[in-house]
Amino acid sequence: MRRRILLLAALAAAAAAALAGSLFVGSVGLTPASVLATFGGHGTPVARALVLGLRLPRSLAAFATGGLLGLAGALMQVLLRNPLADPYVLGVSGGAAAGALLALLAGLGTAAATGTAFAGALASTIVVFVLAHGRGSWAPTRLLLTGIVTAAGWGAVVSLLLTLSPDTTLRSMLFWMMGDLAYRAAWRMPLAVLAAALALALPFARSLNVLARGDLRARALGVPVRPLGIGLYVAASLLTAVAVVEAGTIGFVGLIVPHMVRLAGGSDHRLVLPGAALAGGTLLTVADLLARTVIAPRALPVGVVTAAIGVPLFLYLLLRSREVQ
Amino acid sequence: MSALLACRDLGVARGDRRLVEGFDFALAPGEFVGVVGPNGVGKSSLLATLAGLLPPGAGTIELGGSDLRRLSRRDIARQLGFLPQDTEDPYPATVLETALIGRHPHIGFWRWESAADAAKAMAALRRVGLADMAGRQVATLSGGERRRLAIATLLTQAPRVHLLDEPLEALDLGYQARLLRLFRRLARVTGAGVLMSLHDLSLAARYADRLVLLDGHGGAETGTAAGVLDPARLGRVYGCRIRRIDVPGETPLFRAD
Repeated sequence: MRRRILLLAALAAAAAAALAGSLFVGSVGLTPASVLATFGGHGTPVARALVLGLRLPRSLAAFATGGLLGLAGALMQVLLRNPLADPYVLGVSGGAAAGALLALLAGLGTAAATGTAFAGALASTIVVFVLAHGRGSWAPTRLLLTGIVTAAGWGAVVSLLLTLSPDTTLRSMLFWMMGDLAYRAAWRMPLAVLAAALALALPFARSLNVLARGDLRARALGVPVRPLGIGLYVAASLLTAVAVVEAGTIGFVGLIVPHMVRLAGGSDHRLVLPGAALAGGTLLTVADLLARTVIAPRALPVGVVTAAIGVPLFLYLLLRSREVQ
Repeated sequence: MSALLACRDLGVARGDRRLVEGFDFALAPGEFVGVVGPNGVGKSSLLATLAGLLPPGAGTIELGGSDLRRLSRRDIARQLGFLPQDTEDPYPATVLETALIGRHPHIGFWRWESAADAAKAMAALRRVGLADMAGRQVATLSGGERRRLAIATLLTQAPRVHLLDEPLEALDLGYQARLLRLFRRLARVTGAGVLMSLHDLSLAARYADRLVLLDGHGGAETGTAAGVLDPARLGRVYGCRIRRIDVPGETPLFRAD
């Protein structure tokens, strides 16, 4: 209990440090003093525009997106009882991206894009769930294969939509597809969705602990498995959709983050859910910081940075699961 | 005294196969009943149906006098515990955390596990010989230790009715006898009901008050071990010759030839 609180406090501190750090570092060098001055309402107009107008909203957007993906990953991993489940790997992000692109191409607004992204994400989740549900438990190979095929299918749809899109928007759409926070730094809605989802999911965390040990056992211990499962689908799909509309398809956050939290503090979802939200936010804030500084003045898509961390870790997890069997 | 768990005219089917038909049964307080029969005759399906986890093909089930269909899963879980044949623990957890899962139906929605809940889980771990391993990761346990942990989780749940699907699987001889004694004592002392499927007819004859023998074609023979475990009947049901070896002053042993 004490250890969990300590861990959450440490994660919150890391999140605060990452957010603060992202305000001080950027492609334009500002002295720490001039950054601090902007908070008091002082500082040069350039510094204020950079720190309060660009860096702060972008950092908060990165944090919210990372938190959404971390929480979505944690929820999907309970639902599928598989530590390799992740919105990106299972094609849920792909479905959301195709949905969002379709709305953008049709000239509809961001709100409509969120709706169609949600529809795409939900469709993916349902396909993966229905097709990968082997007898009894979730066979990892079957799950991953279904996810890969689903993701490939959405990839083709996305390619088609990109070919049809006008040249003027192609570059920004491509970057958005790779996962990039440069185009929309709307942080209020994603952060609100993250907070609401966490507040809704936390009371069910103990039920999720039971559900993680199998459908049959969870039902035998009084967990309403069906309604809870449907709630998890909808929640995981919605969180993914909001994250994708915010920043495109950023991979592996939902995979790495819950795993790290479990490794550090165990699998109690009363810890894993808030921990995954905090750690996901921190990871993406740091990744975005790296993305916009390593080859400054040019910026990498943040998805490239998370993939650079996520791919080796995913392969390691896969290797280890083989050894256990 | 009224039955803890009762079924009337119960039918259990798997696909086209009618495994159990017209089954009438009542589990009395303090009673330990064994379910025996060859592989695939429906022992697991019968237990899962009685636990409300599979819909019955026909008939009614009553738990503590109430129709099972009218009870919520949580209400059922407070009175009835079910040990499935396989248990999975895909995520890292300690032995104590896993046993504590059994308290879930007893703890209010907004509450955390209390010290009293942890004490119950520790007591259950002691009874299955896992108290020393309370802090260990489940992934480091052997197959038999995991089985004992699943049993400890059921004991932590502390239901009135225990339905166990092959709890002795993967257990060594010592623990087989130890756990059978534990459940027999649990029934006698606390008035709980125990219904357990098992394969070893000799152990079934020795520990169970009554036996249910399923033949897989709808038939179910219920009665004392001496009445049910008739070598001629066993031969028909199991499709091989089964000998009863009488041991003076003890329950008989059964051996397939």
